[in-house]
Amino acid sequence: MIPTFSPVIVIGGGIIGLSAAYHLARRGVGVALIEKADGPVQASVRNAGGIRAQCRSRPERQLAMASIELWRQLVVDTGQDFEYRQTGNLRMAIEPSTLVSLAGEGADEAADGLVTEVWDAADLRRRAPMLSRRFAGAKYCATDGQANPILATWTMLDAARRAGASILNRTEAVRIEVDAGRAVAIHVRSGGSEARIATETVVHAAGPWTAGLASEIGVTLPLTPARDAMFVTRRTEPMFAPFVSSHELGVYTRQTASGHVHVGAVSSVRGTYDQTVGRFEMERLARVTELIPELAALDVLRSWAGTLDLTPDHLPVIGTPAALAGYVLAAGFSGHGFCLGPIVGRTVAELIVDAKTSLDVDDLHPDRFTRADLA
Amino acid sequence: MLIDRALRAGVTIAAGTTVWGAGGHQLELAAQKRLTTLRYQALVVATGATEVVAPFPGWTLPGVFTTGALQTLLTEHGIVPGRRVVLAGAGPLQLVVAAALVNAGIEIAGVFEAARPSRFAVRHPATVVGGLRRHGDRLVEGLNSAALLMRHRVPVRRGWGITEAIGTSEVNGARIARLDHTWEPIPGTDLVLKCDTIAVHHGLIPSNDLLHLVGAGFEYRPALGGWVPIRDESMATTVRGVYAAGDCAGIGGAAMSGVEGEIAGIAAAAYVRGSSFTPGRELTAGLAAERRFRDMYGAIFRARPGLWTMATERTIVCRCEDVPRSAVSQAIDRGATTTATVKSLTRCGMGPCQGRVCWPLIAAVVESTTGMVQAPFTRRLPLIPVPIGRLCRVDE
Repeated sequence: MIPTFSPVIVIGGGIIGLSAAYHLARRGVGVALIEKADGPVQASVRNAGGIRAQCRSRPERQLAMASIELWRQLVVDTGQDFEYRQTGNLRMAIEPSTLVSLAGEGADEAADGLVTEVWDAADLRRRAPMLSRRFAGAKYCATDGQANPILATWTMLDAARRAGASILNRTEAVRIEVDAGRAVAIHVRSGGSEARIATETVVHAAGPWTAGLASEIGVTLPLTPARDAMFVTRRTEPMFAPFVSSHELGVYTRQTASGHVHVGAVSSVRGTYDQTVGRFEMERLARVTELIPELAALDVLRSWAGTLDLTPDHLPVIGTPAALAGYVLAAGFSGHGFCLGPIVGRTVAELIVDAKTSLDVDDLHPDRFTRADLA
Repeated sequence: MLIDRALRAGVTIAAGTTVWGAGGHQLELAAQKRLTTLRYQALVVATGATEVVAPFPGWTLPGVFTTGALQTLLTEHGIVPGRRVVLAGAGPLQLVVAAALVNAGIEIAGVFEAARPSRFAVRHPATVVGGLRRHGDRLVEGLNSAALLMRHRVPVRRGWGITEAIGTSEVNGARIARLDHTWEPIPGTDLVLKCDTIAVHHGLIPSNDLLHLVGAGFEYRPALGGWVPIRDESMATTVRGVYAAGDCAGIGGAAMSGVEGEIAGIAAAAYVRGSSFTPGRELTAGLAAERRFRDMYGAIFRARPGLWTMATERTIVCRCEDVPRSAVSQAIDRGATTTATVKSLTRCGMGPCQGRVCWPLIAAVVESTTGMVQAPFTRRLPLIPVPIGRLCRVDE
């Protein structure tokens, strides 16, 4: 049943919205989440499942480190195995200069309390013998890891529901009602009929689809949709544990708990909602054989794509625009939303309940784009 | 032979070549050792059909085959994998294969046909008489098979089906039961027959992944086997220059496919020359007659919903990923209301067969809980498994 009032309404049933609903419900806030599909079906369940703190820009690093703690806590709190494993994360360097800059990044990370190791070519041969011999080295973060994004997102859904959140699937937000500079209600469509849900706070977390509805209430959000393609091989014997990526080759890969090898691309196809994976994207992904030569013999079974929401600075948008009260944005994750989901949910709950956050998210404020325009 | 006529007319036949992808007026081909790309102006898709098997307890045991696979083993390789065979399912293929097995000296424990053609004839006499008058010759093979089976005292039972393959490491028996009009087994009517081989065939489903991939529009026609491409009278799909003919566009058998193929071939040739083509009276009349037969056949033998009730919670429904029926129930309990979400939660359809085997069951289960017709699983590259190493060098 669609309620006529909910203290908080979350728009979007992906990992961000579900995590926000989970943390709000745990703090005793009445929350209804509306999702137009029959569950999480977009980027939250179509991504590579990487959960890492290394190789992030500074505003995201602390968030990612805190998110990893929360991912561990979710395993304990729910008892569910969503294949979260701290398998380590390897960022590869072909050029010696790349390795030098990775080492510099490692020093910054150490200053923030994140432990990483720089491996040279000899370390790589000893500790990761499946990798091609062409690499000068890599940076390794042992506390980073991976999870099954589908199971993880559904675990968050079940946890949110159990905590008391009302999850309304097959319900689409068609309009946000604003009165005197404040979001006061959501108009939704469900099963052919429309309804109005009055509210005190709207959390808008609909990925790339956030921008359209936000612009109707005067909130400008510079999001570019982009297709991110992946493929997966047949199940095979365990070949490698860490999540491995190379920006120079433009690919990353991981082997899942069930033995499938997932391969994704570092870059995406911009300006499209089309999720059709073309032959050229498949060929680009096949460059993973330059990372791990043994993969050449494995069959690709399936490919798929998700739609990213890229911001100009590739940093998420979290916070309330100055011009609109009762409205919290959590979008523009630029491909990092899955990993950050748990901490972003907690941060959104803090913004609503405490009006302050335990981690600094000032750099992620939605007004930063308009401020930059003025400057 | 048709193939000789095609070769004489100048057709290149690329045997052993499979389409693994398509897009932008080109096909991605996989031959023996390499991948190639073929550009086209017009494309005729004639990819046929896949056998349907409704999962039942024990259906993944060694010794259970599809009837079509058994036929291929026998006719192309001269192999019969057992000594005593039970055939169960729907459609005249069962009689034809049973007769071939008898001729090969194999003992048949019984042939069990879910449909009751005679009951259909009583209810729809005009359809059947009309069908027989025009297509009597086509029934001769079936009648010959039936006569041979009768001579060898092979029991052929209509309104019966298989409900369990019995055995621990391989088949040593088949549980059969009477079926109601929805093809659901009637409790208490089951019997166990000793056998070492079971052949199952619950009809055919159009095999049209390539048409999905090129973006053709589809419609849901249960009598034609489910989702079929929308076509005009020249077999043109909704994508310009792409034609579909035969079982891939709706189950109709060899004769109908021949007529549709002829029309599609002429239409595609006209398209390439830049002219238009409307089939003349002879072709349209021939096609109409074939389609009447197709409709009668579909009305009698198309899969009924009771088939999908045979799997118990422990029965494997996706054999690629070893997913039990209970996982599908759990996904629905968690809120899944589409086959795509069930796939996402259970891994059904994520394996090498890409859901070709398990989709009908999942669709039937989801449809029975939601009342909504289910869209097919989204088709993406690659249509067949392709080694990563070969993707690195595609030849133009």
